Amino acid sequence: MVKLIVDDKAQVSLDYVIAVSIFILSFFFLLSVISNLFLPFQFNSDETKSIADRISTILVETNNGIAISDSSPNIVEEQKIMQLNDDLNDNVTYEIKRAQLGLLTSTLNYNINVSLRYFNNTPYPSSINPLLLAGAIPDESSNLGKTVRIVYLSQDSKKLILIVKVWL
Amino acid sequence: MIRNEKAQLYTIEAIACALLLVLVVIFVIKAAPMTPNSSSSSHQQIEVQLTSQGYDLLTVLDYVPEGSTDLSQLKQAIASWNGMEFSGQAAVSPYGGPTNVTANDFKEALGDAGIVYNLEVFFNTSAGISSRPMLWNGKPSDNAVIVSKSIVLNDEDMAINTDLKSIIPDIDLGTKFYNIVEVKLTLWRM
Repeated sequence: MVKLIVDDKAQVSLDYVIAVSIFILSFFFLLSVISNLFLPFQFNSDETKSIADRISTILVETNNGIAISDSSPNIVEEQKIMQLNDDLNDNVTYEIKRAQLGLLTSTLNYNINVSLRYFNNTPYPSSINPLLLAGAIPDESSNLGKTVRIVYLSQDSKKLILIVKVWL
Repeated sequence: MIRNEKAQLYTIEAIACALLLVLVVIFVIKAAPMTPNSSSSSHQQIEVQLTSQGYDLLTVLDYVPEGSTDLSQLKQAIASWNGMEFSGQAAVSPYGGPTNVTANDFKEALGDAGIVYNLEVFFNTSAGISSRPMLWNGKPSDNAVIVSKSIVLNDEDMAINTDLKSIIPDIDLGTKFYNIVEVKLTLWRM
């Protein structure tokens, strides 16, 4: 009997391995489950992206935006672009414009940045005096939604891109 | 003393072994869904973005100012196209013509932004709908999106282009109506 117990002693390591494995597995399982549980609340990228899409549609495809008319989507007018640039670069009208676009309500408070650029991403017509480079400036850590639309500036006969960025 | 050390070695090795195994299993499980081709919500957003950019580009290219009798840029590109497929980003013949200018616009707007595209032209023939590639960059991936635009051609648009006349037939000889072509743009990211 005594001999048997002595032999059993060496097998304790096996029990130990199983116990440690179960412990570590459950620990990591819990870790991943808990982090996944909070994931949907941490990121709002889906929301910002769809808001950016909506804003870009208002701007590019409607008369209330910068399109020349409701029947000519993607064709933008210089006068309206200059007005939008002024509105978004002034602190008072920035708030009004945000409210008009549905970015500033009692429950929402999104910032916006709109720019008109060449296809190679440099501001149009030059970086010193851009036609449209307006709105707040996102900080590095903000989680922003971005939409790129191709537009045609009829006055200058130029194909350009309109970039809309929205973040909380 | 010696007997005691032996037991410790076994236990530590076992722990290290278990830890390593468990870590590898967890790493593999975590890494598996992160391949670029697995579908995710961000992937759908990329497809939506590609679709909107494709439609934007075709809309812009097909714009004619109100009151103008000129052909849209896209229509000009087709009307002066000689029916040859050209691969990749090579220059289009006839060089410098409207087809080449439009091909360059596609390259600038899409190609330079890392988007791969094919442009095909579908048209009616007496035997049914036929197609011919115009700009060809290869077989699209599973996640490609397709946008299209219909363009009506009349006899005047086709008058000078004998090369294309032999490819796209006049489906109504009695009237000025020539054919309807559908410009199909396939977009995807590599």
